[in-house]
Amino acid sequence: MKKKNITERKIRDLLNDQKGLSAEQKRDIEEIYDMLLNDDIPEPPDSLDDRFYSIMKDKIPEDNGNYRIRLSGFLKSDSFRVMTRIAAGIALFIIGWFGARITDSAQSGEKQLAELTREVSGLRQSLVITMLSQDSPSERIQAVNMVSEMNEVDSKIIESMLSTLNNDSNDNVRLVALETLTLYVDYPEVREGLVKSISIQKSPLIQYRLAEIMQALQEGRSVPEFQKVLNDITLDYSVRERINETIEVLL
Amino acid sequence: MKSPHKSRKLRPVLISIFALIGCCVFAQSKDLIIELDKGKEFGYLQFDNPKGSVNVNGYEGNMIIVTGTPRFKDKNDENQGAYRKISQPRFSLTAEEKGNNVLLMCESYGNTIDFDIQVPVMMSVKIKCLDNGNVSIYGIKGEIEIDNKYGNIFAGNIEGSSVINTSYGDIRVIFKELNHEKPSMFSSFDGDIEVVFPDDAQANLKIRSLRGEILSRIDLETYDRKVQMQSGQDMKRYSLENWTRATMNGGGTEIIISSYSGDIILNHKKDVTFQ
Repeated sequence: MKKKNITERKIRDLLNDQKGLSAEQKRDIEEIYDMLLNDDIPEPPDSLDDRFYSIMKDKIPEDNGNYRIRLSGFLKSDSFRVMTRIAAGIALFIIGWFGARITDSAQSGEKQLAELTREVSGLRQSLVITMLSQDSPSERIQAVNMVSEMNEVDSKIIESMLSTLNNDSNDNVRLVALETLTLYVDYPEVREGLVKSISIQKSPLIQYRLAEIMQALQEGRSVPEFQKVLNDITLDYSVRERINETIEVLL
Repeated sequence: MKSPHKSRKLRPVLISIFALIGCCVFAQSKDLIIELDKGKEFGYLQFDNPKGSVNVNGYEGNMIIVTGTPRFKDKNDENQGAYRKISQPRFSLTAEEKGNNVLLMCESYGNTIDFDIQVPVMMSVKIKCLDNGNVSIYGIKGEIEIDNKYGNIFAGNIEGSSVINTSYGDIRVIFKELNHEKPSMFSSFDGDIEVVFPDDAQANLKIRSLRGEILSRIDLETYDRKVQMQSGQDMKRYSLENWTRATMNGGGTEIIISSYSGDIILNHKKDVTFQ
């Protein structure tokens, strides 16, 4: 009721201020306001509510819809946008932090190890090549033994091993080089080198080993080389027998 | 294939005959003396004998003394009628020295010449005998490299790493001490190889004789055969190693012994008579 009085007074003040209005008009307005303010406004009946909701139900899909509306409302709200931005910032920071730590430790460790291994193997290879040119045959044997401990070799090492097999002044070094080269017969250049080496070798121990190896490898290209060796009249009898056996098997 | 006992009995006999030959002095024998620089610790001697034996002995001194002796007397050394035959040298001998590296060269025109060489103890030697002789080395501390395709090789009282190779001769090696870092290797095709170790020697052994036996009076710990894996270009290769690996007194110096049909005999010093 208090609110009503305040409004009435305000209206009357407003009317008094309006100078352009005639007394009749003023009275009319006052009457309308009186009607509006004094008459009791009837409460809306319950049926109206029911009707309203039933219409709403028809227009909008069920709960889902409501939820979606609320959610979409929330999603569209400013607070949500701000929150997502902050959350994204924090998440990014944390992911970055941990990611960096994990990948850093793992990758740099692996990287360092790989680099170190590569460096060591490179060093070892150059050491082998240096040692192979030493005067001392024991040192050369040591170098060849080092090659046999490597899991993988490059063409440089293979080349130096083959040249050791063919040119070394000491038969023992040649023998060890041959034993080592048999470990790498999967490399075509090693096979080719061994075949070419057959007619060069003079030591019966090496000739015998080569006959065995060629038979094991089923290397047909070795036959003409062995035939060259058989032409040598000073060839050892047991070696000759072994080579004949190899040729028989390979042909 | 000789039995080890037979060959062991034979060796001292052979060596004493060999020593006797060395003692016989023919008129032509004259020493070649090479003086070495005392300041340097180790010297190096390289010698290829085209025909005949080589006998190297270590002594306390700083000179290399080379004595060459023709093994056989000339058939017609006697006087011919009214003429008296004057003998002339049957071989030429040259030595080149550079910073204690000595290269000894001999031209013997098909004659068999036996050489007796006295060297300082601190000496490494590389001896090659091409034909008709044995090689014997005694009492030096340096590295030893011997190649004698058709004859026997004896290396006694040695300390350094040795790489010894023969095809048809026997090898006998007696180590005075075994603590060198570099590997030693002995190989033969048909001959026996005997290695005598000091009683407390530590070694890693890698042995193989395809048709011969391995006989040892030393307690050895043998390993299981190693599986070797090698990665090729697009495949991996696994193979069982065909060497016998063993350690002596916990392992140490690497010794490789390889033969085709010779026996390999391993002994302790206390078990052998001739040293």
